[in-house]
Amino acid sequence: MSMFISLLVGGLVLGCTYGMLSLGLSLIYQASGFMNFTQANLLMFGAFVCYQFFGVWEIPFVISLILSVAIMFCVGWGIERVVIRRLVAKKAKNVYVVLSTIAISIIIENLAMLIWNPRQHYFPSIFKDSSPIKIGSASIGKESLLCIVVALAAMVALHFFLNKTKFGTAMRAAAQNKTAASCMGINVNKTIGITYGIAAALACLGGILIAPKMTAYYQVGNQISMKSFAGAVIGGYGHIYGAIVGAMFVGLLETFVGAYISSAYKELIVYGVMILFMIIKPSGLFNAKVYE
Amino acid sequence: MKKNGFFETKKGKTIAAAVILALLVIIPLLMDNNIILKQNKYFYVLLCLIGIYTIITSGLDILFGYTGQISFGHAGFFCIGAYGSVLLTHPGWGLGKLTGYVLPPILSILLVACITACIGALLAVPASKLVFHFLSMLTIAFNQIIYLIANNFSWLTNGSIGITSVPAVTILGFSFSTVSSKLRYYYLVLFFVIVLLVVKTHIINSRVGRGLIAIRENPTAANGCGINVAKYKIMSFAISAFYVGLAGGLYVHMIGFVSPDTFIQNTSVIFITMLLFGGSGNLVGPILGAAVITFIQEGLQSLADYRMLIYGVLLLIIILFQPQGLSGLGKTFSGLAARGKGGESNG
Repeated sequence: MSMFISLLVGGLVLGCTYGMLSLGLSLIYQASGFMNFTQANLLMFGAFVCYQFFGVWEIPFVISLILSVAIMFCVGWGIERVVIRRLVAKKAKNVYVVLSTIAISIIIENLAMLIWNPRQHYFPSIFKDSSPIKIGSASIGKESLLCIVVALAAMVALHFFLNKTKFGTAMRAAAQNKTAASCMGINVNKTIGITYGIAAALACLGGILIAPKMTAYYQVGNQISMKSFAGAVIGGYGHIYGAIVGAMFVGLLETFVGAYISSAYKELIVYGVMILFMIIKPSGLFNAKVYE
Repeated sequence: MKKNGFFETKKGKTIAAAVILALLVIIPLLMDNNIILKQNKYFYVLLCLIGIYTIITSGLDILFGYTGQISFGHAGFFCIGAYGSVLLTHPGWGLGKLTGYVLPPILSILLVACITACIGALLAVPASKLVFHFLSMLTIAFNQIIYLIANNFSWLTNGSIGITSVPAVTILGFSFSTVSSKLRYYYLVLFFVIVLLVVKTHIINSRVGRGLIAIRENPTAANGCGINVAKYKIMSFAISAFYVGLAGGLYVHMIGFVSPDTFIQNTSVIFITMLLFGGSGNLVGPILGAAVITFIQEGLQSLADYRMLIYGVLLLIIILFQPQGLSGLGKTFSGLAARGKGGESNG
């Protein structure tokens, strides 16, 4: 039983991290209709930025977290501003936009490798007193709980931001119909830019929260990139709540398969489930629109 | 020369192709006998690699440049081609281990290319229905799965250690072993490159090719004109996979060693970079891209850490400023490229 609980928590932690990415993917897909392959590497980069503040310069954790999230927000916005918007303005084919995000993700990954060398960096523990919390017979690390709590809080906050604030409503309107939204006086470029920023900030948050468990390493992005896509696909690509559910499912599936069947095949099974979903039900659990 | 430049006419093109071909045959032969320059084994390896990458990028071009379908999983097909050919010919692994019989390498290369084409067609069945975003994701997942299989199924592929001493190609007792002479293998690769490029030209100029181009321009309109879009997409995938599978077989019998690390996701990105750098949707672009990127790659050997960064920046610059690639730089560039390539062979 204690193994089950610790696996469940481990799976939820992974699921939350993938969820932050899938959420960003879905937000961007809704807002601009493009797939973004930079997400996972932004997560990695965000974790490194926070490592620099918190681990190297020893700035208090909360401040380094806010600083790195703010920096990554600007990075995401900057990517949209400098590359994506320019390509869209040139009426480039969709394929080229997707390719450009792949190019950016390669650049980010290798920049991180050059700045912080290819070693694995141990992220210092967030809490001074790192004794685990006991639930029944199982003991759970505080960082894991923090990860789940912050991720859930971020998701709820995003929900309220999109549904209750004026700017969130404008974002949803722009996602539904760009022409109509711009006729209503909504600055569509701005909403899309901010969507990219929010997605990058979410990725950064996910990266910081998972970093104490996974260490900061420049190839983390590659490891989790496809899994976040799997989460988004299983939930229904472009569906915000679907993304969270799908990502949780992927995290739990990976953890339990790794523990009870074989850790060599866990990724194969996750990708297999994703491909099955693509073939049998591409619209995912929440019936998103994906056919040509 | 302006509107009807010599290299624009059919006769001119034939002559240009014949001249390049003659140069590609004669120069290495002269080098091998130390008549011009000096015999240089490393240079033959480079030429072989360029040939193999040319096959891959041409295959990818049929899919991306002519049909407009993206694939980030061509390293997966490459992997199937390479491992497939090893498993069919190696006495200690795969078929040789199970039954004691092995196929001659040249037969296995062709057979594996056909198998790869079938796998490509299978992959295309769901892929032909998806929008391109999901296509790119599906192909990435395909690449990852193939990589994971090569890496984790140790009983089949010897895991991450890889398989060494892959047998050399032999045709009717004539050995193409790369240990004694890389030059022979270069001619083998050159033969395949020429055959496949001719086949590609014929496919593109046929009814099928026009159907593919119609799909690239507008799938809905193509469908309206009576083109079976799904069928043509599947064909395009299969042809593309055939090219890459064949290149995989050629690659592995040249290097004589295979390990999963060759087939990571980055390799697929490098293929795309080659294609875009050279220019997609024409005959010369893929050759040019393969040649230039291979030379860049070898030139940057000392800067191995920066290599992927440079690819990324190159890719981004091409996408932003020169989507047509090198071959789109000028109208008569194909003629210039012919001379440029001859010059590169000299150096």
